[in-house]
Amino acid sequence: MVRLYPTGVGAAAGVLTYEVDTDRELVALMDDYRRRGFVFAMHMLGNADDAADAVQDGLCAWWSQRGRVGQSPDSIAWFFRVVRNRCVDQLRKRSHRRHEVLSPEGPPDRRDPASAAGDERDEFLARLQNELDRMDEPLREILLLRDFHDLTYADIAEVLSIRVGTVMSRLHRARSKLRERMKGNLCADE
Amino acid sequence: MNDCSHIEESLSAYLDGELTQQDRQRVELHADQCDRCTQALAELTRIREGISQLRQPEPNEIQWSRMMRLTATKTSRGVGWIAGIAGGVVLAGYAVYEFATDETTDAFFKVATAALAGGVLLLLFSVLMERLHARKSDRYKDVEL
Ligand SMILES: [Zn+2]
Repeated sequence: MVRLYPTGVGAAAGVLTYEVDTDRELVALMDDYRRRGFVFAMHMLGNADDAADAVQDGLCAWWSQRGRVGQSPDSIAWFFRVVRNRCVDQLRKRSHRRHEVLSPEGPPDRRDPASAAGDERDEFLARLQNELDRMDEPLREILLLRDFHDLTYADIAEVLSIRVGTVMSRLHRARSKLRERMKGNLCADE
Repeated sequence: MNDCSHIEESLSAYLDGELTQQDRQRVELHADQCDRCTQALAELTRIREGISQLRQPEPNEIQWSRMMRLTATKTSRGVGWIAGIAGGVVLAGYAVYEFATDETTDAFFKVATAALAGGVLLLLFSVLMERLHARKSDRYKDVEL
């Protein structure tokens, strides 16, 4: 028996609480979903509080659907789709566009400190970030789903409710465009 | 190479390992003899790896604790807002009414005030709970395995 959230006190605040039978695996899975869902929602919304709301909504939906969804490997796509729908709802409500998200200031993570190679890489990543942020939303979104969130084409197709063939061609288009914009920063030909 | 354009369309899917074995081999055979496609492949790889290395935002403790809930916190908060706003509206209406008629009933005033106070309290309590929970450093303090 696992209590995922304290009962009693919460109930007094009008927050319904559940006691659930579960195990470490499920807790870890949900932890993973939370973390990944938050980053995904941040990519879409650019606001951490809104992103947390979208993930919380999505997780509630996922939780209530769990019996049907099960714990199959592809259920991350189901979860992402729900979170994405929540994000789209929020974006509709507010008129302004997302602001720059991934690395608004400061150097990217995983840098190689105090080395010229590290500086060059940071510069490259900063430029990449910049160009990515300026791309059309469908192209930006699919690039992030694929390369940042590491989803398969089948998963992306489910998240975006499009065909796998469309995933393939859209990704090709997105990468070609990004490559074009990154010309000069890609030193492969030097 | 005259089939470059056809191959180039497959490079993206090739990198993702989403091509059939046959298509994959065709890309590899072509790239072996084509500098242009080899270079394209190298650049696309660099971009692909770059995106995977971009910084990822982390939720703060309050946001994390909010995501820990498996029930709609927004519902209770929404109820709080609605009750608060409804109470405010009733009070405002009452004030207008009083101005207009200069006649009052005590019970009505009490109910409206209670609705407003109750809504605000519910709201405050909901936020308070969230913050209290977030203060606990251990993310799974409440999980008894
Ligand atoms: Zn070629």
